[in-house]
Amino acid sequence: MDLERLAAYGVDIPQTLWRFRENEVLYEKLLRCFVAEPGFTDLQKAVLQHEYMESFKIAHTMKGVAANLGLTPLYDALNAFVKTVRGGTAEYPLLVAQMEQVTDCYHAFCDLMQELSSE
Amino acid sequence: MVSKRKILVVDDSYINRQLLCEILSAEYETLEAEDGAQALEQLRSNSTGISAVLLDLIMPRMDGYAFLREQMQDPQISGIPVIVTTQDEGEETEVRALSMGACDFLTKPYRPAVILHRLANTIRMRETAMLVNLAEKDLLTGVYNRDFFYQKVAEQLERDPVGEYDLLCADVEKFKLVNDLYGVAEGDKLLCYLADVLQERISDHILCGRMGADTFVLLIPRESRCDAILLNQVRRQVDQYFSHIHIVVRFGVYRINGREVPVSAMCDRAKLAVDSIKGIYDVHYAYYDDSLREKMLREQSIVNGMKSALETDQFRVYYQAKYDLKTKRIVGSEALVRWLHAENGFMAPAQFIPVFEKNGFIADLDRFVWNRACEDLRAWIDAGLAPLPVSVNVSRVDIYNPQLPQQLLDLVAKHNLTPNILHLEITESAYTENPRQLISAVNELRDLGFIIEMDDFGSGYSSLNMLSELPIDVLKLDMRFLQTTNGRKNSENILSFIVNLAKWMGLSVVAEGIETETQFVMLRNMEADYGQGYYFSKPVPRDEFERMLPKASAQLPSPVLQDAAPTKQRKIMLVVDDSLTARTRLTTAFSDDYQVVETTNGAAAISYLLKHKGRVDVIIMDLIMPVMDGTVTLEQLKSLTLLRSIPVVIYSGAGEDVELKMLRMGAADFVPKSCGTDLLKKRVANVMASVCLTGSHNALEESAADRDTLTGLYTAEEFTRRAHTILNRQNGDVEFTALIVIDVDSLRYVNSGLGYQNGDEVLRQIAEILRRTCSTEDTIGRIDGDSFGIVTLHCGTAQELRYRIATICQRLNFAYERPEGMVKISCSAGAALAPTHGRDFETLSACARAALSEAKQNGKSHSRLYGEDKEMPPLALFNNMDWLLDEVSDGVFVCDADSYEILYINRTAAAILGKHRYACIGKTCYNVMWDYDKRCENCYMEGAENEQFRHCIMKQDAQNHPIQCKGKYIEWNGAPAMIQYIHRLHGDEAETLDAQLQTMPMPHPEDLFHNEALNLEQLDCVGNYLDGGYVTLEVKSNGQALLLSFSNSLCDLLDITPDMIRTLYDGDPFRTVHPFDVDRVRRSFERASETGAPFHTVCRIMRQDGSYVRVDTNAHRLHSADNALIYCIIYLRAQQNEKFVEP
Repeated sequence: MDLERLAAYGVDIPQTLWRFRENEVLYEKLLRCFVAEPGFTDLQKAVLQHEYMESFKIAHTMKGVAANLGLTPLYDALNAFVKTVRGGTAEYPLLVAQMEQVTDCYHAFCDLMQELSSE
Repeated sequence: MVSKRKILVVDDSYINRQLLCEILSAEYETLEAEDGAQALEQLRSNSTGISAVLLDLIMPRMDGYAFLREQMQDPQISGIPVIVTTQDEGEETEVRALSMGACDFLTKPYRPAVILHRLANTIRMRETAMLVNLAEKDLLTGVYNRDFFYQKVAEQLERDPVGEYDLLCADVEKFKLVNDLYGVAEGDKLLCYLADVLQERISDHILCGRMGADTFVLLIPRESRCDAILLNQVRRQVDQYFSHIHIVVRFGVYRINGREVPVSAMCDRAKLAVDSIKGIYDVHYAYYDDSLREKMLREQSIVNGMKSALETDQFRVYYQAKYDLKTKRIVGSEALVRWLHAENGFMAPAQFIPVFEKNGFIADLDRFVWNRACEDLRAWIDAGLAPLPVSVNVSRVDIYNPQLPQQLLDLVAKHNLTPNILHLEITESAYTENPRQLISAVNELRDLGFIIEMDDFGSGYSSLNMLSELPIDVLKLDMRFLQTTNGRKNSENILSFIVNLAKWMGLSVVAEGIETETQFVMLRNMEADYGQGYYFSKPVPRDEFERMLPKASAQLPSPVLQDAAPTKQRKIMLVVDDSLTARTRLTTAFSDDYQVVETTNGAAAISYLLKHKGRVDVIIMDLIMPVMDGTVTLEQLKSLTLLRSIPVVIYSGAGEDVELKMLRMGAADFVPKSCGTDLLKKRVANVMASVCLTGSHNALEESAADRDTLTGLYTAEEFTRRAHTILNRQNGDVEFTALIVIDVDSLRYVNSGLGYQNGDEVLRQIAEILRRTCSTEDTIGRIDGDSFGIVTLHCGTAQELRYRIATICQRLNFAYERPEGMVKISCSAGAALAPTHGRDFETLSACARAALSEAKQNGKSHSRLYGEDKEMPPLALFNNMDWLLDEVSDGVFVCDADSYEILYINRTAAAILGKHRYACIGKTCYNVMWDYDKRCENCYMEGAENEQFRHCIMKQDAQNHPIQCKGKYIEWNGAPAMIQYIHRLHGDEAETLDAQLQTMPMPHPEDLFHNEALNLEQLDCVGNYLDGGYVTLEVKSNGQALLLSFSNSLCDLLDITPDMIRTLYDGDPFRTVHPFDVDRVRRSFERASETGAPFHTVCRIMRQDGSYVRVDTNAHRLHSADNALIYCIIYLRAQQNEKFVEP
């Protein structure tokens, strides 16, 4: 896998691989898992339906995973989102704006994974 | 092979679980759960197999909090430690999860090393607690022991206040008969069988406990399937165990109505029920009912008589003496009550104390005993007898009396005594009933100056918590309990563990119920402090005891009294932080548990530590500080042998990258300043438990058989086994391990002069001194009749080790005095250092013994490190010892034998050559030394098999000083290489040599020896400018020597005139050699002359003034026409100007 492309996306490669005990195969596998997981779709749905508590839970879990996978831009976006919706209430317009940020970062990541696997 | 510990990973994210499992996989086996509910299922089906849980908090279905709530309510799994994985949620989350029972926190993203470290700490903490809880279970049958069963039942009844339960008591009739007929082992098997059958058949029982030798009690729900039919089946199954005799099991049932009756009384009633049908044919079970009141009536008669008994002085106070286990001196006593009943005669306390405890009269009786004890104490002191403290019982009901402290204070004041002479014994069961009340009462009593003893520790609910919460001074262990409940070996292990634990907490240990010499020796070897029991003395009436008391003047101040100074030795915490706020926070958080010492930077901390000889139990340290920061301080702490083992917890606002660095540097843990006080305390407690365990674990692993009965040290076999293990473990470790061998110099004088018993006592005393001199990390054994071995880890540099062995010898220098006479005892020691002198035990042992015999040659009380007197072994270079070589005055470098590239050069050599050492590495030696671009003409590298030193005198150094050089072939990382030692010549000799070098080409000495024609002129030329000299001798067949020639430089070396040389060398060729070296030199000379090979040795030779000079000696056989044995011996001063003066 082209680690440099991931680095360009914002992954701290040495730090992240150290976390994976240099197991690059596992890292790649889990990156693909993350793309395949329904978390993001669920999050979109929850936001649309104003389900704040649910949004919080999903985003929180995704945030932890993004941190572990070293996906810094997505992590930052989710972090802001989680702070807004913590406690199960939020200002909806702000939340939507932050969701857009999350969406951008997520899609950028998915596109990158798409490219990497077609290469 | 030991199987890996299992960790349960609970997280809803598959990715997180996979990652955690990957991180843990090297050290643990992992199980996974997606949510709290799955996790509970896993834990319940695998409760004993899982060491810890890593728990995510936010999960669907059942989240982390719900999981914790459920887990903590289930006694089967509540003990499994849980570490919560969070994402920096802040203190609120922390406090909530901790309060719900979580042990620690980890943050996402994961950091592998931190996770592993923290997990290890948590698991160790839990395993320490489990060791203590061994005492909760009956080790024979695995069911709860009596007191713990009471505790568990009480908890269950409290948890479920409306549930209906019964207590079922099963009793084996005439069990003693089984023991008599088949032996105790068979009896034990039967009991195990019975316990298994009961638990299996009565499957819906909630708890099972063993009350006495042959009595079990089960707590069962009222609606249990347990009926007469089932009980009959159980009865028959047990009866079939032996074919020859009937085993009759009978049952008694107590129906629990309400919760007012204490559990112990409930169990008594179930037992009463079963006792009521004993011996009645065909009646196998009975309920407790009013017909059993008869027994109560008996009790009633006791109750009726008690008040008048007190008034008519039927109660007597007896005293049982307490002894110091080391000196066997009496140091105090325990006051015990006896009842001389008007009708029943002499009554044992077991008959009436339980009754009094039930009805509260015990408080009156206690008061009576206290008063009597104070009266007696006063009388003894007035009579000029030693004021030894008396322990008195303080019952549970007394604790509830708010007036107690004042009453006790009034009492001692009335008799003009100080509180510390009265020791108050409390029982641990009081703690289980009402811990808060007990803690506050005990605190108050201690503050008043009373000494608090915990009675019967280890017999019931014993927990680390209790010991840390209760400010007690003395721990009393009852040997009898440990013997009857468990197998001997296990009980010894537990005992040793508890003694260790007590020592670690700064408590004195009193062993009660010592009945045999074996027990006494065992306890003394475990370093229990005091003992009490029939082995020393039974409880005796006042007058008899008075006769045992020493005179006040004859007795040193009582150690118990000293120990028990009102300020108990508390654990010391050293706080190192420049921020006042942080220091205050730490002090506030820990001042209950520690004596907190504050310092503001690393330098101050280290100076405090050195001043107090490292007597600090834990260090909490900030990183960023003025003067000396935390990183440097930590490095310093870890480099000092004295301070290395003190755990350091880093408390810092620094980031995560620093955390890992600190852990790698040897910090025990890292706590961010942002974390809450509870978590901080928990982490420190975990660290302390690990430290405690390291010490105690050793105790648990070993058994008495591995100990030498005389000294309590390891036997030779065990010592060797342990040394092997340590050295294998040490492989690749840069830290040094040393083996020290110690010999008693003149034990036979003790044995022959004072008898063997005294010889044994001397050995015991030496063992004791060694124990005190060595750290807990050291392994000490008695490896022979009068020799001892020590394996010490992290002994530091050779210099530190040399100092250490010298200190040991000094400590072992003492006068052994007996009325029959006095003998001065001294010991000699030899030591070898791994890996310098060898990596395996055999080699080290041989080296240490060689050093020891060398030390002994120097006289008594000498110590020696192996190889001290010989040239630096090149091996040293392999093991990160280059810093040591930088300290020597000789220049050393190593170059490749083929390419002449310099592979290693020490600082001194680089300095002599006027170059930076790193500028030398990789360059050729001729280039570096002489600026040649091809190798020196007379430098030829032969094969690595040629092992002798070759000498050559080279040109000058950077400052135009001549340099003397000697080289030797060695193997360097498996390839042939040459090691060269160089040093400067000074003064006249240098100048002359310099001039000489200008004018004539120097022949290489080696060339001379290969030359068929002996060229003495050439030899002279070299020899006269050596820092040393040479002689040529002919050795006759009778061993006599004839001097042929010598260099004038030899005269300088030996400080004699040329005329005198002949008298020295003619005749005995070894006459000039130091008497301690002569045998060695003679041997190697003889070996060499057999084969005609050259020989090399280092020895001391005598100068005219009687002093000795140490020389590097090379002898070469010269060729001669008539085959005579002609030797040229070249002496090179081994170290400039060093003299050995004969003491």
